[in-house]
Amino acid sequence: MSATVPLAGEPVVVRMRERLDPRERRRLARRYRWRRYLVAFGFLAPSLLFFSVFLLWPTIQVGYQTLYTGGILGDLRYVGLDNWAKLPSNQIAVRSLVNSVTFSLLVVPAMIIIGLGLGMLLVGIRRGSATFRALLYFPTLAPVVVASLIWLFMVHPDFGAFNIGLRLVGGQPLNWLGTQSLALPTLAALDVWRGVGFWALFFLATLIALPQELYSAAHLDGANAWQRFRHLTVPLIRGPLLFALVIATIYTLQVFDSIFVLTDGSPAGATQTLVWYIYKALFQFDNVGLGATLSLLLLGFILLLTLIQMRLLRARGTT
Amino acid sequence: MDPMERSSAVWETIEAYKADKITRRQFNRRLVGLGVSVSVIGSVIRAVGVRAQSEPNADLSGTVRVYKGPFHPDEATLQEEMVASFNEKFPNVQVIVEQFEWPNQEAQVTASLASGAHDVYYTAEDKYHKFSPEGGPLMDLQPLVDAWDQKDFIQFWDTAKPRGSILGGVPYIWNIQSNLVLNNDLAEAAGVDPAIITESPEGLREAAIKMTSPDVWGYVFRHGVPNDGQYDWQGMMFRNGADLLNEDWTAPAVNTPGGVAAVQYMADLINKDKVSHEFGAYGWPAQRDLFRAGKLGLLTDEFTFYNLLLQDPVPFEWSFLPFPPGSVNNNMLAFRGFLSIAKDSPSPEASWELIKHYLDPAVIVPYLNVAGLASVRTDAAETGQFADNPGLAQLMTDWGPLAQGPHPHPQSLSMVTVTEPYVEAVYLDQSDAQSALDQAAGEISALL
Repeated sequence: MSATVPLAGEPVVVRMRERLDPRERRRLARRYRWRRYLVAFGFLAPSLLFFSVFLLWPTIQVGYQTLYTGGILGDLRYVGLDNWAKLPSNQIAVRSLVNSVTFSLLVVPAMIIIGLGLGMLLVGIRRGSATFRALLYFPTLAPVVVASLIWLFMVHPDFGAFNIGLRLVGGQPLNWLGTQSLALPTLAALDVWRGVGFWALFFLATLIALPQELYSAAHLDGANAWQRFRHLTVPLIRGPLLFALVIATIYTLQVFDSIFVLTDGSPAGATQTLVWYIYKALFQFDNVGLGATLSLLLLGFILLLTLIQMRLLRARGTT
Repeated sequence: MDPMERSSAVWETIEAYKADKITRRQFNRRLVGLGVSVSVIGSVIRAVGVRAQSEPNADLSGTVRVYKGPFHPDEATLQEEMVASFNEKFPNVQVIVEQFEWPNQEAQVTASLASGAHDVYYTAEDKYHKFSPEGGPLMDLQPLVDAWDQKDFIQFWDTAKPRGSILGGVPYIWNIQSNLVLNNDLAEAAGVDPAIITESPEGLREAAIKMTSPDVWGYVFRHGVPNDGQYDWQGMMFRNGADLLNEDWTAPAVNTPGGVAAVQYMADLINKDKVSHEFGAYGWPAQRDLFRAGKLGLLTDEFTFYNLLLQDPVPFEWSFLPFPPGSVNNNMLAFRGFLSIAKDSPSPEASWELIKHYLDPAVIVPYLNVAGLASVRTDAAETGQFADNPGLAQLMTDWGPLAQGPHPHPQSLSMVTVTEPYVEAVYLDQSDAQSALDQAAGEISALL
C-alpha cells in the first residue's frame, strides 16, 4: 500500500492494496529474505573469515596432525590413532592432566570467592576506592614473568615473606617450591594473587549495577547481611558468576608461564601441566603429533568442563 | 724499558708482522713480552692481520642473519666489533646478529629453523644433536670444511658428526658444565686435604662431611627448582660407565649398576650424609650466592664461574677442582658449542665466510677471553687464549682431555627430561635409585 502526500488543491489519491500473484509474492519474499541474509553475512563475513582462518582451520590442522608423528623440522610419519591410543599409558600426560585439573580446582574457587568478597568490600568504600582498586589490579598488570620473579622472593627459604611470617609466629620455614605437596599450591597462590584484582573489579562492576530497591526492601523485611547475600546477591549475579567460572577455568587449565619460569615441572613432576607438556612435546621431543593430541585433549576437556558448568548453573534458573 | 722504547719495539713488531717477517705466534709472544695486554693484541691483529692477509672482497654480497645466545652481558658490543672486522674483509655483506635467551633456546632455535628466520646458528652440544641428523634443517658443511685450510686447528670434529648425522656444525667453544669449586679457607679450617676430594667419590664425601657445620653445607650440587641437576647426575653416570643409552643406542642404560650407583650416591649426600641442602631449596644462582657468602665448602658449577669469581672477588681463597674419577671413567661433563648454517639459507657462502671469521684467532681469542670460555682451536694457548688469566689457561689445558659430551642421540635432551622427575624422586627420598631409574628407563624406551 502506498500513499502520496497531497499538495494544496490537489485531489487525494490513495492507491488501494494491490493483490499480488502468490508466485510473485513468494519471489519477492524470497528476494527480501536473501537480501537480508546477504546484508547479515556481509557484516559477519570479516569475523567469520578471521574465525575460519585463524581458529577453525588451525584446529582442523591440529586434528590432522594427531594422526602423525615426527618433527617440526623433519618429515611427518603417519601413525593413525596411535597418539590417542598411547595417551592413557603415557605417565607424563596423565600426570599433567591431573596436575592441570588440581591447579584449576585450587585456583578458581579461591580466586572467585576472594574476588567477590573484595568486590563487595569495594562497593561499601565511598572515599579512596580508586586507590584500592588500583592496588588490587596492580598484580594483574604485571607480566607473568615479572610476577613469577616477585613470587620467587616471596617463597625464598631465607628471605621470603612467607617464611619470615612463619618464623614470626614460631613456625618452621618451609621449602615452598621444593616440596612435592607444596609446589602446586604455591604456584596456585601466585595465580590467585595475580587474578584476584581482575575478578574483584569485575564483581564490583556487577554489584554496582544490581537494583538497590530489592536490598532496601529486604532490609525492611529484616533480612540480615548473610540472608541478603544468599537470597539476593547470589541469584542476581548468577550470570556473571557463570561467566567468571568458565573464563577462570579456561584460563587456569592453560597455565604455563609461571610454571616454566619457577619450577619447569619440578619437583618430581609435581608441577607438570598439560600446556607445559605440549610445549615440551613440540619444541623438545620434536613430536608434533603428541603436541597436537595433547592440545586437542585440552580443548575437549575445556569444552566439556564449560558445558558442565553452564548446564549446572543454568539448571538453577539462569539465562 | 722506558715507555718510548717499548712503543717503538711494539711498532717494529707490528711492521715485521705486516711484512710477513714473523709468524703470528712470534708476533703474539713478542707483544706479550712487551707487556701488551691480550685484548690489545687481539685488536692489533684484527687491524693489522686483516690488511696483511687479504684485500677487501667486494664480490661477495648478501645478508647473514646470526642467531646466538649471549656469552657476556655486553654481547651486543662484542658482536659489533667482530662484525666490523668482518666487514673490512667483506664490505658488501650485511651481518645482523640476534640473540636468543638461554632458557628458551631450544624453542627459539627450533622455531627459527622451521621458519627460515636466520642463516647462522649457535647451538650447544645437548641441542645440536637434535638438529644435525641427516635430512634435518642444517647444511652439510663437510665439503666446505674439507676445503678449509684451518680445519686442522679445530678439535672435536668427532662430536660434530656422530652416527646418523651430517657435519651440521663447526665446533666453536667448549665449556665444562660440571666441575668442583672449593672454598679453601673452609677446607683448611675443617682440616680437609684438597687432594682427597679429587681422589675418589668417597674422598669427596669425607671432605664434605668434615666441612659441614650448622652454618655451612659441605657440598652442594645442582638440585634446586627449576632443576639444572642433569649437568651433575649425567656426569656422575658417565664416570661410572653408565649413560642414557647403551652402546648401540637400542636400549636405555640409566638403570645399569653404574647409573644407579651415581644417583644413589648423590641422593645420599642430601638425605643420609646431610652435607647438602634439602632438594629444591636453592636454585643454581642462589647456590652461587651461598658460595660467595662463604656458606658452602664445595659447589659444582661450570667453567664460566671462574671468570665471575675473578671479576667479583670473594673474601676467601678458592680453587677449581676436577671431579674424582668414577668406578669406570675419569671425565667431566662438557658441552661443545657449534656454528651451523641453515640448509635453506639464501646466503650460504657469506655465512661460511662469517663462520671462518668467527674462528679466526684474531677474533675468537679476544672474545672468549672476555667471556671466559675455551676456544676449540688447538693453538688457543699460543694465540693468546687466557694469556693474562693463567689459572683458567691451566684448566683449559688440563681439563680438555677430560671433556665428555652428552649422549649424541637426537632425542637425548628429551630423555633427560623424562628421567629428571625420577632422579628428583630419589633426591626427595621417595624412591630408591634402582626402582626410580627402572621407571625412567621405561620412559626412555618409549622415545626410541
